[in-house]
Amino acid sequence: MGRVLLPFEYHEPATVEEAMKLAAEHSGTFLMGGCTLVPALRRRERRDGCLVSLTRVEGLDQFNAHPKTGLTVGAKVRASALSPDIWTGKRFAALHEAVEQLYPPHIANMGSLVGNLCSAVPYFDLPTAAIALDAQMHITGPDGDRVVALEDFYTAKFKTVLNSNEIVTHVFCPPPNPDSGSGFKKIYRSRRTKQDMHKINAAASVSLDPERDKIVDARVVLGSWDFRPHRYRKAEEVLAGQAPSFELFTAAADAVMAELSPVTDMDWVEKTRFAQARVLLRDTIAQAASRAKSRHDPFEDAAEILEGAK
Amino acid sequence: MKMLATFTVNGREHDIVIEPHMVLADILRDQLRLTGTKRACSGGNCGACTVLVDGEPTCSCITLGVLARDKKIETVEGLAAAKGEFSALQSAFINNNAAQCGFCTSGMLMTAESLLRDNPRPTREEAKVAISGNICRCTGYVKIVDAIMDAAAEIQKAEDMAEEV
Repeated sequence: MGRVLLPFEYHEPATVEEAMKLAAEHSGTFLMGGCTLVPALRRRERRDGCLVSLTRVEGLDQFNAHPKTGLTVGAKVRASALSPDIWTGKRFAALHEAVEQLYPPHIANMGSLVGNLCSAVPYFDLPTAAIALDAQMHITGPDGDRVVALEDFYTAKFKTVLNSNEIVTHVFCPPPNPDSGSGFKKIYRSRRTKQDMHKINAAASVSLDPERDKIVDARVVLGSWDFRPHRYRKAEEVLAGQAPSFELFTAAADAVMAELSPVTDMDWVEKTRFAQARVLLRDTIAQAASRAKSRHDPFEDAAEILEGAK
Repeated sequence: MKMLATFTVNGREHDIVIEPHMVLADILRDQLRLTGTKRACSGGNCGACTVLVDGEPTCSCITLGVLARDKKIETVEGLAAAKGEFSALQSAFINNNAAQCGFCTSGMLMTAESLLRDNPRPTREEAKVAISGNICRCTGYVKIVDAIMDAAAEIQKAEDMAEEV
């Protein structure tokens, strides 16, 4: 591993238009915190000749989290901005938990949420959590703006639907249902060999009917298995319309397991990974359902009543 | 592609010529000769290179120097008081024998410093979570956490005394 980076050109535009122009002219790569890019440059996995920094671009720093308007996180917002926010913790719990569990914790002060989502590393946590919250990427480019669901954002390992001069301005999670909860869990063991598949992450969101005794809608996401986190619709169908129970969560986890195929050809690795993923999924769904069931927020409900009175 | 950049390190401004592909750890160590910041894994995994950028712990080995321009950087050299007296945190590290080989210590000190600023009375659990990104290969974590708890108590005692006076 080389210690020094290879020289590259560096640009620091002030507006989005300028950034897109520079990226098109010099075939540049966009840079925010560099947490994924700099180690990759150092390992010579990438040899980018030109970096276009978004750190001084204006208008990419909007951050807004509210149960009525949803979660909007601009491209420049560091992941650490999510952890002290009360509504992120209460209503977008999966993403909040994923940020809190980032390793090393310093990374949250350095990298942005959008940068993490755009780097398309198969084993990253934040995409898994964001897909469970139905995140949408708002993209701007020379040919106009477009919105892509995060689920359809990844095309291959380290590849996204973004053209080289398009910028994700912000990511948006729609407001959650009033009686819903979400959760995120991961299993992370230290990596002993290069083949060691040392990480699994799962996220789920569950929304209940107003009486809170039946699941209306659920999203079950498992990451670190394929090149991107996947939603498992069959497991979601198992959950829909049923009363939450431990047996139901186990059945949903089993429905996911039935769709998974082995990643390696090592039997012992797959045995452990399948067993762990099953427990992880079951517990994540249980956590999300328990949050949905126990959600009690007089403050939020009061805001609703006040808005109704207007 | 050379450029002139201003770094405010430990309250002193430095104007130096950097190149965009230089990382902050190299600038601090090789150009400013502040060798308290260590380079170990160079990949953001071990925390030995931790410095505070605008008060937040940051892995300086994967931060490009250009991104830290015009920001307030604090390194382990800035912890001691002007006359060279150790800060409460540093004294606590010495008294608890929290440094064995000492390579991780500068990173540990910076992370602990930022913890104690945000949360002057941490629990043991909180201290452990805070230093979870700093790896000590002598595995002397117990003494390091002891030192952080001692420093917190010491700072608290000093504040209480100041209030009484």
